[in-house]
Amino acid sequence: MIARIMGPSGATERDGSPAELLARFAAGDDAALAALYDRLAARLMGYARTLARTDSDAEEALQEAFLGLVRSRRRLSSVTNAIGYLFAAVRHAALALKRRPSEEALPAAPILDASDPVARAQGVDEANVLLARLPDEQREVVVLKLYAELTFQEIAELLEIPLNTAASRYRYAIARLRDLKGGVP
Amino acid sequence: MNAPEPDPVETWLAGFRPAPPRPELRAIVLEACAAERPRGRRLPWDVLAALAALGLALAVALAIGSTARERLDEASGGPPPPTRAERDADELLHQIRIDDANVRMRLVTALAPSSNGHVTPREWATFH
Repeated sequence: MIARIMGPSGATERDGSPAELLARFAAGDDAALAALYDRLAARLMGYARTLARTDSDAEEALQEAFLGLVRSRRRLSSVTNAIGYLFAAVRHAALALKRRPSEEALPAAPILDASDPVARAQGVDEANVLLARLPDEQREVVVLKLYAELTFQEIAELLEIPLNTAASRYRYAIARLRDLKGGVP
Repeated sequence: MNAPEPDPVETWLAGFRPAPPRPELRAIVLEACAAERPRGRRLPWDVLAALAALGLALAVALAIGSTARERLDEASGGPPPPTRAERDADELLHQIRIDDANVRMRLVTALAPSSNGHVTPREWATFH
């Protein structure tokens, strides 16, 4: 089973949408799980880093989300929103880990990828600093909207808040980032 | 009606991508998933409990059999010894600290050679 689950890395659009991959995994296609990881891991990890205190907690939350798929495999066919399901699983795991006492001192890695020279030239380091200065609730919505690519409706469902609240948190966050950016030399 | 112009800060932020997880994490996560069993395949708790009760009953029966044989060897020439079923029942009741004539009678009946000579977990559950 390991070989079938691991599969080659680098899932593409041709492998199907996350919903299709989840349905395939539910139907017994082990390789679909690896494809799902390849499609969503970066987005899920970015969100996990937004919530977790440490990078290892973020990794654990990501792993828990995928383990949850295996544990619930027989029930996955009833999942109607694959992306929302996985983000909710990451959120649940990350918040549970956050409540756990931790002595680890290594903070979560920056949310945005600073390894790309082009991104660095465009100010990704500054963006990471500014995101870190947002209130948790606003940063979470910004990451879900811009980097997890969820709709406000999906964000509202995930966070169990009204749609208008999700949208207004995002607007406040952007306004705050605008102010902060103006203050950053 | 035209859509509102995107905020320059929003456009700037949207140009970046989330940092990917370290490459080794893929193998770690997927290996953990391969080792994980779907919850539905695990043995139900009632089966596990029945197996545990069966193991306990077997251990008790073995202990009783050993003690009973030793006592039978010691008994020679005295008053008629109690039957094996009575000894086994008394030993079992002593071990679990139950002093109840009704339970003893039912246990002796269950342990008698005319019965199957042992107590099943289901029978035992009805004794106390």
